[in-house]
Amino acid sequence: MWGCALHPEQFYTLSFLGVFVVVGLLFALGPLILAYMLAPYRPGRTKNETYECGLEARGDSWIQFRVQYYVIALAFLIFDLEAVFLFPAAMVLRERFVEQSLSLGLLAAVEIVLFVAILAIGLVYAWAKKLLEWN
Amino acid sequence: MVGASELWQQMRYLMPEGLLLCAGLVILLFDLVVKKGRSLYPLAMLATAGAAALALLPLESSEPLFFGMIQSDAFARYFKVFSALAGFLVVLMSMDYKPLPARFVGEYLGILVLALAAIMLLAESTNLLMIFLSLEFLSLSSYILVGFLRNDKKSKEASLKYFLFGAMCTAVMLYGFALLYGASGSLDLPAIKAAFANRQNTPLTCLAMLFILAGFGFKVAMVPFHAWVPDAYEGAPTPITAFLSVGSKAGGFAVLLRVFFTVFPGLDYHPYWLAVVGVLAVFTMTVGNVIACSQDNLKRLLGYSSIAQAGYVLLGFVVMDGRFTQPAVMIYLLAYLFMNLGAFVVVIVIANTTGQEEIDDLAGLSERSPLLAWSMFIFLLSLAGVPPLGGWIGKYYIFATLVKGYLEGLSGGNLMLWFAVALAVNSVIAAYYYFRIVKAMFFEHARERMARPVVGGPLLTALYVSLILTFAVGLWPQPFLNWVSRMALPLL
Repeated sequence: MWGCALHPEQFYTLSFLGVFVVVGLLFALGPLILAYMLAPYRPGRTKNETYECGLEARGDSWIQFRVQYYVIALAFLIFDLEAVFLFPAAMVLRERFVEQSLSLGLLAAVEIVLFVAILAIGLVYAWAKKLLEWN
Repeated sequence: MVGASELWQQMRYLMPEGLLLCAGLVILLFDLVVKKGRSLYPLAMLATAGAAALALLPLESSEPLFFGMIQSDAFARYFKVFSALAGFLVVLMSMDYKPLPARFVGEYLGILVLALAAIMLLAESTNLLMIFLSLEFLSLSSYILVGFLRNDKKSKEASLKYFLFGAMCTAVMLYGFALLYGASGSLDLPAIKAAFANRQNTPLTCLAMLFILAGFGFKVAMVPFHAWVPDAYEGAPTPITAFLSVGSKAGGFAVLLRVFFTVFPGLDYHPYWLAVVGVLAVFTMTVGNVIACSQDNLKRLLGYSSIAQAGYVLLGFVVMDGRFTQPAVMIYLLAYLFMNLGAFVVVIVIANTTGQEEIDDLAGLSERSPLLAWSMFIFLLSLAGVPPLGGWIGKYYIFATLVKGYLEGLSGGNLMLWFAVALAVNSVIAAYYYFRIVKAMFFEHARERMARPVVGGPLLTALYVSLILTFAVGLWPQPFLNWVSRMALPLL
């Protein structure tokens, strides 16, 4: 295709991909097929319930959810991710201060504060706009 | 290792977008305190004007900045000026746009200003990761802006369609980035180029480039990634339609130019590439022009026209010669900025008067408001590429680029001649629907009870600025051409 020949070397490299695809398919489909052949099939009312234990599921989940639910979920997600970013940043920060210059460490610290501050503005905004009040 | 003081030094290259980012956040915070949203307009105007002024300062660096994430060269500076200028005009247009609810003005302006900063970042990114982030930044702000008329069903539908389509194209583009990274081992554009310089190409790179084209093609409204354009343009608040048609399109072209000029020369099948892009460009302008002929809604018509215009600009890419392509594309975009924004100013005035945006609403405009009718006439002539207006200079340079490419015997020269013919044929088709509007304005009589349009100060300013610059680019192109040639990417 378009004058791109496949070298033996490239073919060798790509063959890994082929093997990976085949093994991946087998790995995913194998247990399903095995279960289909081996497992006994005896459905019942209790067995068909959503959760095996815990609260009993009531009603249908195919309903309209409140839009506000998504707003709160989004706000939560943002701060969830913020934490994910802060941990590695904190690890590197120590390295910056100890192994490199003080000024570089300070710069990194300021950047982290900026990052958190911008997210905080978002939270303040959502709060002031009464998006976090459930009524 | 880069020291702290050097990083601090590098910050000064980011002053325009820094100003816009701060202004965006400040506007959002002010919105909480100030209850009257209209008082935020001066702030947004000040921010965009300030950003334009900062971008005009000759602060350029050919060195990669921030660990190779950004290159704030003359090329990036051109698009910074462009984006700030477009932003300023869009803010002016928004001031008198009636359907926009007053209590959402703060949010609207904040997100608009942030979107402008996103365009600036997009134009200067030299790393796939940074390109993706700025592209998403721009896209997410645009999705929200399109759906700003919350009580309007069309606006919500437009926003959703734009979002779904955009998410799809972004996913494909991201896949392309991943493949390109796999093929070259780097996310930095210069490093990717170096990796391809002395190696045979694989189907992998072909696929990667096609996928990436999907993401950029979505932003510039290239066929077959244009399906969102008519609905999003029709449903969005009109100033935002104007913003999408110039601002976000220019951002797409900026990143496309950078990737084309950095990565593609390293690929040894790049003549084939140019043929692919050329054929897509011809499809883009033909589809845009042919469908535009049957439109009755002004915003939809201008939407299809903007697809066609994207096709013209894309043709400039076919001649991958640094001397021609970049100045042609950049001067076209500059002319397009003013003529298209001007046309949308008239659409806003019409919509404010009659409450809708059909061609029939323009009937007898020459009697009701000669100023508007003649300005619209000028903008449409310019869009159609009639001399001596800005649009003509743009089209002339694209055409000349193709012919020069043919005459100089660049690879795929014969094809270029055919593309030039396609461009000429398409200009004729385009004239048909632009003149349908002219016919309505000058040769049809107004329906009864049609009010005289009233143009307020801000809209009038935007109209005059667009009008003067549409003429200026056409009549005195030399200073603009000199400027644009100076701002082009360095040749590799």
